[in-house]
Amino acid sequence: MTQASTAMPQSRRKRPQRIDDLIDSRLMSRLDQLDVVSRKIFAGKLQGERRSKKRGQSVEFADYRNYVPGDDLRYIDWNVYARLDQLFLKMFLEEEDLSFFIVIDSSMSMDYGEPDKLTFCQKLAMALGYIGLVNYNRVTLVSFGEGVKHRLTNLRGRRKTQQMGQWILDLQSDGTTNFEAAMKTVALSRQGRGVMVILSDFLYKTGYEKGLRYLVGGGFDTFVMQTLSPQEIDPGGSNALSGDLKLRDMEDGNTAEVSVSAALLKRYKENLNAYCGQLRDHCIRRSMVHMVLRTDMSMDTLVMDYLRKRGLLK
Amino acid sequence: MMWATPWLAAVVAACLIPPLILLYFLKLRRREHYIPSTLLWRQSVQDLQANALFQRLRMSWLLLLQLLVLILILLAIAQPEYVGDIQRGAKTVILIDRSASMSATDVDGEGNRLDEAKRQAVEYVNGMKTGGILGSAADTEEIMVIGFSDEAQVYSGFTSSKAQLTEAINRITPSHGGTAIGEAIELARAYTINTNPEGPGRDVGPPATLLVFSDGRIHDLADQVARKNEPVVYRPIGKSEGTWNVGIAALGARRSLEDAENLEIYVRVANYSQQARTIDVDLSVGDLLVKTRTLEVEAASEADPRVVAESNATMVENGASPPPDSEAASATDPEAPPQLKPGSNSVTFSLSDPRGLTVGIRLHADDDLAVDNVAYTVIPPAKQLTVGLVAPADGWIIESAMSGIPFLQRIENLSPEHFANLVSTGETEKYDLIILDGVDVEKLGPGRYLTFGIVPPLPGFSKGESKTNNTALSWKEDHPINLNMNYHSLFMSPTWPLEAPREVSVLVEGSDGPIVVEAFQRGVSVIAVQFRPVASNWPFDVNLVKFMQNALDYLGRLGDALTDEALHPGQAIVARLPSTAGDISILRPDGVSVPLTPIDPSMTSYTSDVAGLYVFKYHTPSTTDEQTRAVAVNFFDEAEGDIATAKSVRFGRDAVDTVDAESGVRKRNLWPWALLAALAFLCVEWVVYNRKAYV
Repeated sequence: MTQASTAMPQSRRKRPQRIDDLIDSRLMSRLDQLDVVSRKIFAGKLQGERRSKKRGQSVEFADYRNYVPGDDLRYIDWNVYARLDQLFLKMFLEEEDLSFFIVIDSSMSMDYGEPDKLTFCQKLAMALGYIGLVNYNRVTLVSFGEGVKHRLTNLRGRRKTQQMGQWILDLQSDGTTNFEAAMKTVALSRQGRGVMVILSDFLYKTGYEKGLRYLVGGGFDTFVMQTLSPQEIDPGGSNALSGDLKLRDMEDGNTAEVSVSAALLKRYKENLNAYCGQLRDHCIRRSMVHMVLRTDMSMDTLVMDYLRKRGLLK
Repeated sequence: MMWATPWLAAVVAACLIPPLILLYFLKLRRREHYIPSTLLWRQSVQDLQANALFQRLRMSWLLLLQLLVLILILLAIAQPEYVGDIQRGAKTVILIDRSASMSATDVDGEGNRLDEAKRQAVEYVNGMKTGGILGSAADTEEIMVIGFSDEAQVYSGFTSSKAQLTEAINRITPSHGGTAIGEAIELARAYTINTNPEGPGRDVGPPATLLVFSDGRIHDLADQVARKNEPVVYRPIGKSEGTWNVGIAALGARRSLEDAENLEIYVRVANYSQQARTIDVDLSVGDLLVKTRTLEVEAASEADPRVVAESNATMVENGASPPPDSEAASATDPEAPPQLKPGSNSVTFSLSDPRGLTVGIRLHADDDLAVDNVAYTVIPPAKQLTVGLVAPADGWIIESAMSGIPFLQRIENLSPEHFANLVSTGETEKYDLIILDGVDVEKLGPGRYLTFGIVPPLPGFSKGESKTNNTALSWKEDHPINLNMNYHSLFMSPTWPLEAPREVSVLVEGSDGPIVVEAFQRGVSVIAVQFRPVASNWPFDVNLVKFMQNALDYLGRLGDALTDEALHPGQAIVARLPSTAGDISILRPDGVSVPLTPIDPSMTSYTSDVAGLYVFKYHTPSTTDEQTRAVAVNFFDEAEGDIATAKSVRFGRDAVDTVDAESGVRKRNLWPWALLAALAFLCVEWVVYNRKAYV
């Protein structure tokens, strides 16, 4: 793709049309071995394949406790009663399902870069969603822009792969971003506990702080995945910006007149690094995980290696 | 620094520089490019602008480079020229001194001062303003070339043609004359003063610059007056110190009337340097070296200032003003050369040879001026005269008065009829002199005549109305005919007055008209005396003998008389050749033969310019051999002999701008350098642009 194509406000780039375009079968088979890691055992409505701190009905023994009237007689350990003549109740670790929220920024600004950020997010969401589905997590997908645009809730099981894939394929990049409003909606609508992954470039003129504040707490382990294209990380690269330009914002149409120079590019990179650093610090202070993903990263490497190292997958 | 086309550059600058700046600050069209967010870009630009000092400066580098390139190109269009100190006007008159002292060889390299002056003049011409590539004719400088020595000559009128001016300058040849700048300046002013025809007497336009290439040894500088707004620039040629010159200051030959075969050659040698010199003096006759003498010549000494002061005081007492340069040059001009009185010594050679001689004197001195080391004199042979006497019976008085003259070979008495025959046959010239004593004749043939008491049959002569008793009042004492004569004791009986035309020369003026006149008309030379000696008291007076000797000596040798004249370079040589002479030419000292056309049947002239021997050559019907007559032109000019160059000169009391040889006229075109610099900066700009080291 040429520089001119990145400059188009309404991209006519070729988007994934089929689920195979999002995730190939080889990767899918490898993803079967992975699972989403939660740093805590969370309670859930449905019994999933996940251990919970909550004692419950599973085959894995946890502890005994004294019987109190009202307890289910089925969990009384009669063998102990026979030896000790006291009623003890057997307690088991309850296996619960995990709410896995995948929040995708589908504003206009995501339609930028080579590869473009939205396509990258679609593929990553597909991979992560698939991992969630096959591990019987309760997968919820949300796209946002000005607010929450679309959502697909409570998918569970491999059978929902097709449905999820189609939802992802239907994503379109348009409109502006109101991160605060979108996150407010997401935070209010989420149920249970689990893992939340936010895929966005986080280049919001209104700031990301208020939006992320809604996500603090609530029992969710939040992963902030800042997705940037190579053209954003290094504007002086191969398809370099040069000359005297009027840079127009794809979302709000604001302009910035610049004469591209080494000094300006250097300053831009410094600012970008500082911006990402601030976002990372902001996340760390709120027990969130921040990571910067380049859209030219291989999905295989990203999922099988990087995200495992960063603790999202195992 | 001057500019050939400044207005063109100004116009181009006005057209180009504002648009260039506008392009940068007002009209910069930016390419539109879509990005996800302007958040970081705006912040980056603001960051850069926050460091305003450096960023603004860096931002303007490219603009500055482009402005620099543009300015350099504009400078090239303006065609700057470096011309040093001389303010070059629209018109310049180059005055080149070609006098004898300019033949001095005290210059660096080959040639003499004149060659150096011509070289510098050509250099000046090459540096003339030509109006540039696109300049108008009004910007073009015009130059005129005048050469001067004793007299001035225009070698080229005002023109802007370098080729013509260079050719004119190269045409200037050295002269052995003196140096007088007055005529040259008058000539220059005549050409340069632009008079408005509508306002008589009012000059229009600036006067021309007078650029004088000279050694400053100009004797009439004090007489010049500097004009307001007339730039005069003096370019000294030669060295003011370290030169030396000895020269022949005088050369004379005396032949005793009593012993015509004994000849004495008198030579005076002057030393203009401040060291005593020992000089060998050669005397040669023809091409043969005859004698050599060694002469000690004392050094030049400074003139006694008391003599100058006394002289000035005397002039003031007499009501005259002292010479303007005497005080100014010596008192107020510290650079004025000291007044030197050359040392001198003389030597006398004796020769005994009856033939006509060409005597050459040569000094063996390796000095800076060679022209005054050689001098010539032509000694005519002690000619024996044949005189024809046409007289009545009482003519014996004249015959007896001539009897004691040593150079008189014989006297033939002629009857009037015989004389008429001679006139009709054209044989009158076979006598060196014909004396007509009271015998009226109808016509005179070519030749030389002395008439007494008759009216010469020449146009303009007539007899007065009534007889008069004339007495002498005054006479030309410097004329050879009046040598040692005294006419106050002359008494004559009444006779007819002689009425002569105006153009004749009156040698003796009487109370009632001329007594003795001299006339030259168409090959006839006549000295006419109003009275007959027998009708006066001259037969009883020694004056008759003296007069006859003077007359015979003068008229009989009239053709050779020019050898007695002290001719200087620049003067006209006048030769009285036989009226039948043909194929006349003159061989100059430099070996060039120049054909001549006689002014009248017996008179030929040629203007000398260099010192040396000039030889007239001609043929006569009577002989087949080529006849020759040598004339010596000598350089006896002590003012020119002192060749030390004046560091500065003055017009009267006004100092003249002096520009030394290494500054001033050398014009250098600077526009190629400006263009080269523009190209270099363009390359730098290209590099800068590619590295994007600008904001």
